[in-house]
Amino acid sequence: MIETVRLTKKFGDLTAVDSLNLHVEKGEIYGFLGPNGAGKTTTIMMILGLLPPTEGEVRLFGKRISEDYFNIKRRIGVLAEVQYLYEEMTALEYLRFFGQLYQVENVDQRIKETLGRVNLYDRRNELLKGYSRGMKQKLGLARALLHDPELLLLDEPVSALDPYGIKEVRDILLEENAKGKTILISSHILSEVERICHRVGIMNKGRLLAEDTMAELRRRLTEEVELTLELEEEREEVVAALRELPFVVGVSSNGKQITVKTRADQDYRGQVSATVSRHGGVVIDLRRHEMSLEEAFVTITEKNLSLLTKEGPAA
Amino acid sequence: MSVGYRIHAIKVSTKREIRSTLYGVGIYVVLALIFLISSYVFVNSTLRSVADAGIQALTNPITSPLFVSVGLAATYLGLCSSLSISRDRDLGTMEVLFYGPVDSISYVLGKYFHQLLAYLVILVFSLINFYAISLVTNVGFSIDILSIMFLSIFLTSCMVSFGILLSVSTRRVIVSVVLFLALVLFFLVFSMVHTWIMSIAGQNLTPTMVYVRVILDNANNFIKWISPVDYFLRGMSAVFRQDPGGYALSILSSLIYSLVLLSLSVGMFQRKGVRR
Repeated sequence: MIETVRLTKKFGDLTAVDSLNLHVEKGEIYGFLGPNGAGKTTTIMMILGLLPPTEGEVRLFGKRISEDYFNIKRRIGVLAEVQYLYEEMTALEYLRFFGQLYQVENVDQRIKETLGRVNLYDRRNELLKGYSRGMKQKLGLARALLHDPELLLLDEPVSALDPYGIKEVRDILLEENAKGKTILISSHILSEVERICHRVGIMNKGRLLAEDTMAELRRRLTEEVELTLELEEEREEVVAALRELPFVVGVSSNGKQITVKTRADQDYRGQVSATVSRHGGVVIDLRRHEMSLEEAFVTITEKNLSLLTKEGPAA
Repeated sequence: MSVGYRIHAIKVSTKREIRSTLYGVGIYVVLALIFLISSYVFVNSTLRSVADAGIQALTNPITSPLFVSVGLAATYLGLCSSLSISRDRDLGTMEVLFYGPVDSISYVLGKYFHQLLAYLVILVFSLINFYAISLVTNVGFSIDILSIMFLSIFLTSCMVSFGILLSVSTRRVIVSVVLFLALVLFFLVFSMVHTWIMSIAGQNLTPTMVYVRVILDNANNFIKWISPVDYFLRGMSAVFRQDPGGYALSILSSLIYSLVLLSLSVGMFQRKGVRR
């Protein structure tokens, strides 16, 4: 759906995007992450054809944008981080204008549906200059969805929203994805990305450092896994037995609570639980601490780790 | 297929802009000012001189106020064009349009046709105004007035294309506006000085003035092709000479001028990009 080949953008001596090979498959939600200045927005602008690349190329729906400019643009919905609106218009006028531009059929019915989805239909006749930042962001999403695009490019889609608005947008994106839409989301709200994205790509200093599913990223970043057990009662022999297990890296205990660090090559919860039982212990709670996207993001970007090789992290 | 999409994008963006212009107060304020100024010119030139002389033979008594009227309207719309693209870039609204099915050609032509349509609105009001003046003062409403009014559409086309080129070339609104006004003023002053110096008989000029005249005349050979005002003046002159060929040539050259400037604008726009 989106493919960039050695995409590069230089501004004078600064390389904003460096040989980027990005692949977003049809029907997936792709989280495009990176710290400020990583080159995400520059990449999105090049994908949209708004910035010419210094080298490399972008393919959307299998074609270069110049090959079929208008048809490709009609199949994309875009929500930018900052909403630039015609503030002298009402929401209805604004969407009607874009509806006409995209030649949306039954435009008034479609506007009603779209504004309804972002809970702005009751405010449709208000001037946009009176809208709050969150309302403007939701209107931007309504504009991006209005022509029922196959591909959505969303740059920080929930940055101005309250938790209720974030949930609304999350539900809309999941609904759209369920209908087969492909979505690329650039966001700093990593918990949201983790919740809805099938795959993530992490950029830093213009380079794509990692591109994978969350589970695979965790597996490749994690050298040790921490398991926290709560026993029915304190048992010293259980702690001693756990220390003897070959895959255990360390054990610490605090009364009935035991923390076991194991190697990350496989899931050892079953063996840990069986060992506890063999030594007369009863496990009433067992938790595996998984690396969050936030931790993965920080690890990758702070150390500038490239995970694009097939095996494990490489600096 | 892309031509159809492009025409559609031009139509939709022109419609939005002209609607915004017609619902705003700016165009009506400018219309009122234009009528006031042209009426003042009419009263102070034609009517007062007739009153002073008792009788005067004038073939086109409405020409001066009409010239002022179309000149001001075209300059105003050229000014609006000169700030339109840099303002859109500054506000970021341009970027949003380019997320969708709008390209640099449809965007630039949308701006051009918007200003031209706005001029047609002004022209309709001007026609009513001058017809009313001719009826009230009984000075007559000749075919020349209609010819000049028609010609003024092409003057506006030149002014608007010129403004669009400046707007595309600059990133800041204030720079485009100042540049537009400064250049139009320069062209007008240059044209007046050139006309004046060429009207003086050679034997009355000092050697320095002869040298200045040669330089100005050579400069004029270049400036007359880049100044939007000159295309109109050539057409006006053809109207007064009753020269239909010259009139048609002036319209054709105005169209070529507009086309060249709009093509340059599109090229420059593609090079600069749409980002703020």
